[in-house]
Amino acid sequence: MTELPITPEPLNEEERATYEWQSWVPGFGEPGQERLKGASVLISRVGGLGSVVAYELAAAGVGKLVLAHAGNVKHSDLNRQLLMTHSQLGKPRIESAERRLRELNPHIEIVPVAENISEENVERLVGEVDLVVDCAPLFEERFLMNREAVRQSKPMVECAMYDLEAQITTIIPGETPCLSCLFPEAPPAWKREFPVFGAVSGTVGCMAAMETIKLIAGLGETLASKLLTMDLRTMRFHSHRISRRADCAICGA
Amino acid sequence: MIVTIQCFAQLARSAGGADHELNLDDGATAQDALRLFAENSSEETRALLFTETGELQPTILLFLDEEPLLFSEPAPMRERSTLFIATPIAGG
Repeated sequence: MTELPITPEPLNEEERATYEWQSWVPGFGEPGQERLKGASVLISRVGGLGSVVAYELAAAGVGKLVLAHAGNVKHSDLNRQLLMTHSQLGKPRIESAERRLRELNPHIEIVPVAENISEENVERLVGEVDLVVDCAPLFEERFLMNREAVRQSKPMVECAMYDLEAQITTIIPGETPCLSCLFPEAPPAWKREFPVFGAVSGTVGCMAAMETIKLIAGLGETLASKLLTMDLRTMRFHSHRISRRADCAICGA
Repeated sequence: MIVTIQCFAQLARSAGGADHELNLDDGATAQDALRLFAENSSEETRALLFTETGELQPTILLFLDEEPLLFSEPAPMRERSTLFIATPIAGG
């Protein structure tokens, strides 16, 4: 696995105590934790998927989380967007997300951005971090992040869900297929709102957080060049090999 | 021979379920299987798979027994092969 250019940050005694259980993981240890502390991650939207990704990364001690999400908390967010709370209904989602993460881990840096990814902010936001986790509901946002992550050579963990199904892959620019290799254009029939349980977004969100931790720490084997699909209705999981497209408009040679 | 078409996400919902068995002649390809499946499906499902001019939608991913498959390259199916068809999904 290619090692990300992250400068490890030394831990203090409280951090050693907080992350003690994960530091016992073989191949991770204190050096892995120091890499997490020195790392920064952009999470595009902290809804159903991104809430869980952000929560797990905050708990694990990733040093800086940049969260991009516009809009206010609605009732229909609450079945899956675990950083949003009933008491925050009608208030900005990003404030609810920031508050919950600070309650969990006051020692990490959280950069709340009350905007969704757009042509205007994507270069700056991707440029602020070591890697990206794509949890956005709209393909326009996903393609923007993919384009920028490829351009800046930043890895991107790509996760998605529908009904009781979900998928995840890890994009390493120059090595693996990018999002546009898989889907050269936006699907004609995709709808912004779709059926899903919070337990589905939670499942794949945890996997995306684990992929992120593995990428940062250089731990284990990632989903680079593999698309993991899961159907939680039947509990069938498939790991499909995926390939780059030579004619990809974003990453093709 | 009996083969399985396995649909993912939006396509599974449109097709009324994930798994669909087909009985194909020996020597049939994955492309034959996909066209037969589409012919026996609803208009909505056909539109998810193929454009109005009969081309495979560019957003469809195909895997034959877990390996990626290009629609432009005919691939023979074997007894009990599974053709997995995925449509794109996102977050939310």
